Amino acid sequence: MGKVVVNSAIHAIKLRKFTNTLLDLLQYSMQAFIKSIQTNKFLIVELLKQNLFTQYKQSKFSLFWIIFNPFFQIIIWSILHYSGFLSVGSVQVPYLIYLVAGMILWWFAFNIYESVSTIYSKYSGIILENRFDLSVLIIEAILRQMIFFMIHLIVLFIICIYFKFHFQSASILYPVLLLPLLFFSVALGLVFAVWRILAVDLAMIFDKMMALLFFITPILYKPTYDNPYKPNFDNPLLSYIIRFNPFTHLILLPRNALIYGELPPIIGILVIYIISFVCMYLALAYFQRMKFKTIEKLLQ
Amino acid sequence: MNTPVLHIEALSKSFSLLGEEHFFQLLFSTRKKTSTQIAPLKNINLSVYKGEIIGILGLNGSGKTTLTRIITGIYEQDAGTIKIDGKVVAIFALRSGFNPLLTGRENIYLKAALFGLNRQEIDQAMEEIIRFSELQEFIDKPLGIYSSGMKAKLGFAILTQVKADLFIIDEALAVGDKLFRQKCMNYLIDHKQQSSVIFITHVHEHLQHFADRILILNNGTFEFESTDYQTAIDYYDTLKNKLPE
Repeated sequence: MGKVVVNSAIHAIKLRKFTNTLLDLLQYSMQAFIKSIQTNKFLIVELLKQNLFTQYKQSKFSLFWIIFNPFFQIIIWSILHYSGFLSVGSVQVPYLIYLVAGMILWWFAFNIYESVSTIYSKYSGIILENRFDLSVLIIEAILRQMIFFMIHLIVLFIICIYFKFHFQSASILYPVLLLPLLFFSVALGLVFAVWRILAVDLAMIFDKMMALLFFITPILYKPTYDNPYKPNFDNPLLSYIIRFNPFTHLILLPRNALIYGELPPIIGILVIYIISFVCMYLALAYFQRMKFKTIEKLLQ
Repeated sequence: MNTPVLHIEALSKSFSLLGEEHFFQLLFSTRKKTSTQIAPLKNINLSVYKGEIIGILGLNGSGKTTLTRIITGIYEQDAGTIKIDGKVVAIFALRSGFNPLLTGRENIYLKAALFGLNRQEIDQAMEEIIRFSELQEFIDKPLGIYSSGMKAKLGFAILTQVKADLFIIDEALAVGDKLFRQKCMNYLIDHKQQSSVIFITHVHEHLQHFADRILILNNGTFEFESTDYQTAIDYYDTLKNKLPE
């Protein structure tokens, strides 16, 4: 009896210690992240300029490539749809608008994941030879992808103007509804920034999974449904997978608001916000905790 | 004796080899539990005082760069304490952090920002950086056309505008011409009252007439220390002679 009480007390102490450590780490991670933005504004801007202007510096049509490279996929999917090879369901709006509205959100998520998850490999030389806060690289990567997203969004609006498309009042919430997608993509990027160095195979498997995720997220097609957040397919397994794919909800939320003016119940939005924010918070704490170990492994 | 700018006590560092840790331990634990560990630094003690230039000589693999990375906070030590009174700036390679597609001037902004300078400070220092680097003709040309010596000149010129209490120069002056290296060393000697220096190298000639004190790092420990250049070099030469052919 006495032994059980002692064991319970030890477990309680261990649990309290673990909780306190986790809370300290979480608090430190967010504080350090915000402080880093304030103190490293100039370095962030310089890195951003470097990445934006040198990416296509040797090309005479740099803006064209920024737009054309991703939109090349749109041309292919559009051809497949309009030639009848691709069955996309009833999208109720011009398919090009539906497709571009979904694709730009996917690129936004994927590019944030990719650019955040590759910061160790891309900047290994600078990281190993200069002491600076790695949050700078994360913020720069996010800002860079936000700029590309803005360019893509302008193209979407041009397409909408061409089709004389009328937006709904809920469309105005689009920037706010984009945040959960941003939070979740950053979270994935932070975790895989570490795993890309410590467990290369795991990161490579996930890269392949991201390609698969694209097809199990309703971007190219529209599932038939009564409730937009519970997609229904003839194949119940596929319906189940798509329903539990987080990107389904993260992409449907801003896209459906923009092109259909549809909003889920407020409680649904709150749940998506909270889950994605907690994911980012935990990923940031994990990234900070594993920082030294990851840097040490950069040379191995 | 004044208070040290840097005080290191009983510092140790080891690395576990990637691939030898248990999967979950590798991904979630910061502790090292593998059987195979490399220990580049063992029980390091060092104090650097204001106005001092310390030379650290060590053969390849002796732990010089690991020590620099720990002092600057890039790596975390396993044991021991490091007390730093002021700002420490380390230079591993004067050419690192540059982008070959940007011009020399644009790279000044980038590299100086990495050293913690803001736009206003860089704008004020720009002409002095260009003058010190002796690259007036090339400063608006892409860095891709610069020789390694020219990049090193630009790197050191930027460094002259960084305010630090301690500079750690790890093999950074190994490139570039002899005249420019002498110019850099003269600069460091002239400014040693503002910024102490730890000069890390495996070429002992670089320390002659320069270092106030020389420490020999071998197998991760400081084996020998002397204020006399020749005595330190004699010891270093015996270490080199012990190396297999």
